[in-house]
Amino acid sequence: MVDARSTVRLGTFFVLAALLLVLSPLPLANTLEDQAGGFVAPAAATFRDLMRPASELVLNAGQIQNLTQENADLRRRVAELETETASLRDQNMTASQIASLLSATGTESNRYLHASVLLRDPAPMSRGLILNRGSTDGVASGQPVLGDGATLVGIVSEVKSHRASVRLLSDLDSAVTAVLQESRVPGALSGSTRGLELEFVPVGAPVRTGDLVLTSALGGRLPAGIPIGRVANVESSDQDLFETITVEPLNDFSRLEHVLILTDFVPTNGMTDHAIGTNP
Amino acid sequence: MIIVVMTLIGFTIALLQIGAVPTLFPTGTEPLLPISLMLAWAALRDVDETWPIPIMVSLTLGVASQERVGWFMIALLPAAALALATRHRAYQFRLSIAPVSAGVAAILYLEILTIASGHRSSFPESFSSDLTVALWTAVVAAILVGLLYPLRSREWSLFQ
Repeated sequence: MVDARSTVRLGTFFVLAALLLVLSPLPLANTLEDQAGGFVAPAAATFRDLMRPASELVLNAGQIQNLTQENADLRRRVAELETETASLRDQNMTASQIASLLSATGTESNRYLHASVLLRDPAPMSRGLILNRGSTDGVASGQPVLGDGATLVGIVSEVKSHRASVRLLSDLDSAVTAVLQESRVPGALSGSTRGLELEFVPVGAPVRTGDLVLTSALGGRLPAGIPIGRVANVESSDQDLFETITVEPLNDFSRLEHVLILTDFVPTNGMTDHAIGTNP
Repeated sequence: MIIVVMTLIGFTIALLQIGAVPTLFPTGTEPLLPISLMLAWAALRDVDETWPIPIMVSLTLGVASQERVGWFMIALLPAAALALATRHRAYQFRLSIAPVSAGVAAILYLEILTIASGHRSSFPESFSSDLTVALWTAVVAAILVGLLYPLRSREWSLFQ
């Protein structure tokens, strides 16, 4: 079925792959990879931008009815939010006065760095992004990455000189502490094959569909209060200790093009860069 | 000359895989263009011409990913093995089996990289998305066989 020459070729190929695996931890390999990545990532992004009109046409074909319904739902939601905004505006004025008093004490202000998404990590089990900012721009491992509406989408996992890798919340290795806005029930938000799940919430805890999930400062990995998503489903059985809660992210991770990096935030729990944002 | 051309094709197909294909398919269901191309080309011409493709593809994907280059190369080994296994079979058989081989190679590619990422194989849970990837890869291989048919090896065309 496979002749000797073919066997030799396959064997050579396998040896080459093993050699690359063994040599990959070397600093020279990292340098070469960094240099090559500086060319590959923008080139792939160019292909992506060239294909965008065609992809929009393909993806939106047949979606007219859904878009019409979504438009009506959004209009209704806008009306509700306008009412809520009026009330919040009043509260905001009070908060602004307090903030101006606090700033006089020298409280640090967060600094945001805009970054463009070059491409998605091609490894099939990875849910990550490659950004066009790196260590020369002040990016460091462990910094939160925000999407539209300043909602958390991931955490910087690896930094090169001009590029950074972001581990999205939907990655299987992602785990962050979170809290429900209304009930203040804490949990661990992790990625799974079913999306985002809020774990370790005891059965009977006050959780409802639609509750807003925020980041928690527990553990020191993230600043508190950054919106993440809303509770989409709550399930449990009599034998369970914890609820099974799925969370719908406020951002569509597959459509991210521009993000903000919270460059002034430094994780305070003393964990290594490799362990930032990972499941134990 | 053909080696240079295939090297460039391999690099281009890798850029398409990571840049353009994700814009057309939901995350986790993208077809694997390099595998489709490898098996389609091996069916139409000589499999020896395809060896630059897995090398260039694994180097390019490895540089763009947090996963190591070597694992991408190992993940493409099944595709190379399937292409080699059919090299001495009848021409019509090679053409018809290329899409099937592409689908099988796609599933093995995904499983190898899943294991490389440190996760236990998620095959039961991710079966539907893996099957989608395999089916799309097979479809693309069939399309490529048709599109590249004019480039088929001339030694076979005498008997067409």
